[in-house]
Amino acid sequence: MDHKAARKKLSEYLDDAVADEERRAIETHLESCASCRDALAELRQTIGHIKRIEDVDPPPWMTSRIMAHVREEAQRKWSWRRLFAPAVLRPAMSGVAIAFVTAVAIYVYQNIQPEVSFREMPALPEAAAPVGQEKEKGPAPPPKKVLSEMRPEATPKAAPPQRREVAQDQAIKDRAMEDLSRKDEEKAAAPPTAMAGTAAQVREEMMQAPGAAAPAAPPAPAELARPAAPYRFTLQAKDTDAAATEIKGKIARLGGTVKSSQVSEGRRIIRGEVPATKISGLSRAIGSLGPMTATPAPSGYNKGNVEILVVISSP
Amino acid sequence: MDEQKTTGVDSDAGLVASALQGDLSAFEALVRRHQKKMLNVAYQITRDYDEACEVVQEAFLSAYKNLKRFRAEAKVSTWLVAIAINCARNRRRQIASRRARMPLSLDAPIRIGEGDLMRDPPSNDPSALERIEEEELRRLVQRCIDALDADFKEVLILRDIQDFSYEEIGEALALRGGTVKSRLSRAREAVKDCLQKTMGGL
Repeated sequence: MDHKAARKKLSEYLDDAVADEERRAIETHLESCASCRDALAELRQTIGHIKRIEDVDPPPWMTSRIMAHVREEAQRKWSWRRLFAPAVLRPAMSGVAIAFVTAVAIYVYQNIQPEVSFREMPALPEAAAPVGQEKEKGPAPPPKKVLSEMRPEATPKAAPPQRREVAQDQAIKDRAMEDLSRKDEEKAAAPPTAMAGTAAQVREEMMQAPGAAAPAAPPAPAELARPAAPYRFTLQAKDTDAAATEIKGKIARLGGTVKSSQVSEGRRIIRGEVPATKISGLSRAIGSLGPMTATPAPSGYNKGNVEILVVISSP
Repeated sequence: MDEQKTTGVDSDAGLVASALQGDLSAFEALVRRHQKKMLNVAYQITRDYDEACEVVQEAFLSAYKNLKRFRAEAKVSTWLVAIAINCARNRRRQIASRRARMPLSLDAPIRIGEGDLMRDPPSNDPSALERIEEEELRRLVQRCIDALDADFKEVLILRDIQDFSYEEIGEALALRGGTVKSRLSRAREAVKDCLQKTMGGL
């Protein structure tokens, strides 16, 4: 080790912070270098002087003042936590959150349906959709661009189950569009400009509609998608008993159950439930027995069983 | 550094764990155990007792707020001192910027050799040598330490006044081992030169 390197290592050497090999090299050099020996002695003395610097003591109030600050901070921290998620309530809160999300998901799934619901819609009798009137006018030209975009979307998909129904379907759609355009006009301030916007709006109206629709008015297709339980069918038949028997049989064949069948003020009232997917079939079966109105008209998109109420009266 | 306190509930790490669970008395134990060392490091950096007290309070509050960030493999004492040094540096900077706004700087760094090691070197007064009393010697040593540039001073304080190991100094100041060694060596040499100049010998 040369002189310069050894001089630089003296500080470490005094701290015993050099490797054994270095130590030996330094010591070898020290034996032959008087100035390095002096430098080492001076360095040792200097460190001795530095170590004589006395510590100051903390003031007696130091700990308590620090802890006052810390307590303040701890309180702030805990109150912050308590505000948003108290430890005791946290599991309950997650439970509520999960239930809420699930409920919203189910609601959305059941209520937001694609436009195909038009196709699935069963025939409504004349009472619900005055076909004659509509035919005179012909399919009303859609008052808004949005609606004309909507038509080609819906029509090709429509699989006409029966000829009679095609015309009625058309009528229903026209009515729906009238209703929609009326609503659109009411909302003229912000008319939707794109198809997506319209669809979203229809859905929105479906959700808002149930209370808004007056019971007297024929149900608009937009409102049909969300049936208020139970489904109510009002049938006019000459032989109410025969019609009741027929309907009860049909309910059973569709996999449903009849809960009660009673006579009240000359009317037969049948209560029961059928699988939601069979509601259209039931509607057709009842419709084939005579003039019938369905409130709301079934859409066939719900899961599970739906309650039904059939009122049969003689004309 | 109390080696017997490195394990068990009473160890620094155990106290940190308890404090994290909300046990404030555990944190208070940490304060009592480490405040003096932190105060003295801060005092050597700021050279103002009141400022140093402020630094220690600030450092402990900061440590409490960041308790979660404390890494278990680190030493609590080193971690706390590192926080105190950071707080002290910030205060020193504030003081310096306050002074910088004054028209005349009376203690601008004086270049000596490699880098700015010295600031305001004491005057050469050889007559003092034999008659310096203990108190006076300490005062002179302190002046020589004060004259060191901050980076060198911090290493010297931690090693020669607070007895930190080279590793602990590296950890507290975020420096590599080689840097710690060379800074310490140069700081000691500078103090030696300063004392020789002041007292005419050692």
